[in-house]
Amino acid sequence: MSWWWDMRAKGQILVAAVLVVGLLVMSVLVTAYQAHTLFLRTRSVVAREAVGAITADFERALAAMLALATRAYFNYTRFSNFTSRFEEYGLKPGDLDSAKQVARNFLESWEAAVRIVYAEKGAQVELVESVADVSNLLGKPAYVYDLMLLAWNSTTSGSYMCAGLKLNLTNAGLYGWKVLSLVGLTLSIDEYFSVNNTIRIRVLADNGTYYGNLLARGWVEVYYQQGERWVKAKVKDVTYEGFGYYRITLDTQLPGGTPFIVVASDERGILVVSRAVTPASPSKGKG
Amino acid sequence: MAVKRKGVTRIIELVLATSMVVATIMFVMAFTRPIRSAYVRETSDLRRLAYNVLDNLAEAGAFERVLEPALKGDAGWEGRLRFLVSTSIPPGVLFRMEIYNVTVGADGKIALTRLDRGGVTNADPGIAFKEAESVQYTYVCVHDPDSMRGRVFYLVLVVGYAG
Repeated sequence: MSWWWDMRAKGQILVAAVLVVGLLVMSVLVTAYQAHTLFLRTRSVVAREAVGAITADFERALAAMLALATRAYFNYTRFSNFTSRFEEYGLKPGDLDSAKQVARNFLESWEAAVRIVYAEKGAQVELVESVADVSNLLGKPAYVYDLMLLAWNSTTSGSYMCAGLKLNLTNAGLYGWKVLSLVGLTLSIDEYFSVNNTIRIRVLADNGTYYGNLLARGWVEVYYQQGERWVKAKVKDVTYEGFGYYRITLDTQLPGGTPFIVVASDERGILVVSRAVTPASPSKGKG
Repeated sequence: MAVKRKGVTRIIELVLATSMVVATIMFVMAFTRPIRSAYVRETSDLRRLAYNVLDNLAEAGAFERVLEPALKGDAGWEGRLRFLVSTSIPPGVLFRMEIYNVTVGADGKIALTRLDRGGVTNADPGIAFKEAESVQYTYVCVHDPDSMRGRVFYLVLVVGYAG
């Protein structure tokens, strides 16, 4: 009996000891985990805001260069306040390749500026040219590569620029941040109503976000072909109908079977040109 | 002998049981955070505030409008920017802002040229900042007017309390 009691007591102590050791080990693990999360939290706050600021500025840099390319391609002299400043960097009127080269140089300078400005955070920045699929925006197979794509003069047209950013903030403990940015503007001529001389268009920003600022911060123009010339139509009214749709009422009656283009610009200065033809019959028809 | 051993076992069991209970309570306490009943003023709040102010001004296209006259040599732009920042910052918070024009030299080197003369602040010259936070911000102009698009600025905003 004594032997049995002795063994049972030993067993109880063993079980209790195992439990206590288990609890101690778990406590140590939890403490280590909490210390690690505290470390990450205190560091990530600093890094998070800096990363947000750098990423937002990267997208602004892309937008500025896409605006430059589209404006130089559409009408260099009209936007000379902007385009002429980049002449010394090799920008040529109507030449997309020169605009791409200027954009590359600009982004390299921006990269160098970020390194200087965020030097105390140990900023390491690398720009990567990437490929983006914009087929869903244009409704046909299309990819942005070689930095930019200007798919203009269709019923659905778009201007896009795509690049990636790799970022380390070594002094803030952040490594391996990557972002792929696509900036752009998509314009579709949805329908032309010859009855009341209106055009319905749809404008989408970047990855397909409805663009609702065309009236307040952007602009839209309509040109129609008259012989060999493109004549600017007088726009009487533009109404936003929601979900990126706008209704443009023209003062000028467009003849049947006439090619016309719609030019839209967002507040970042990105231009896009869509083209359609008025229906031959004078009644309502698709553009 | 057996009774003595039984007593020792009981004591050890008691100690272990107490340890387990204490460990469990500590374990639970570690996971239960007290409700933040008192507001603790932290400098990280100031940093967030500074970034929010800069982001809002950037989003509104305010920098293009204000800094265009600065590049033309207009003297009143510092007052306008001071007013814009003042309206975005809570009362009692002091700020000081520096604005640099970022340009690329012929040799490809980045040059920072300070545009302000120390006038973009709501703090008197003699007042020292306490619990201050400084944030850096690069800004590529994207909004109207066209003459500003593609220009790069470097902004430093220091926010804090009076010392």
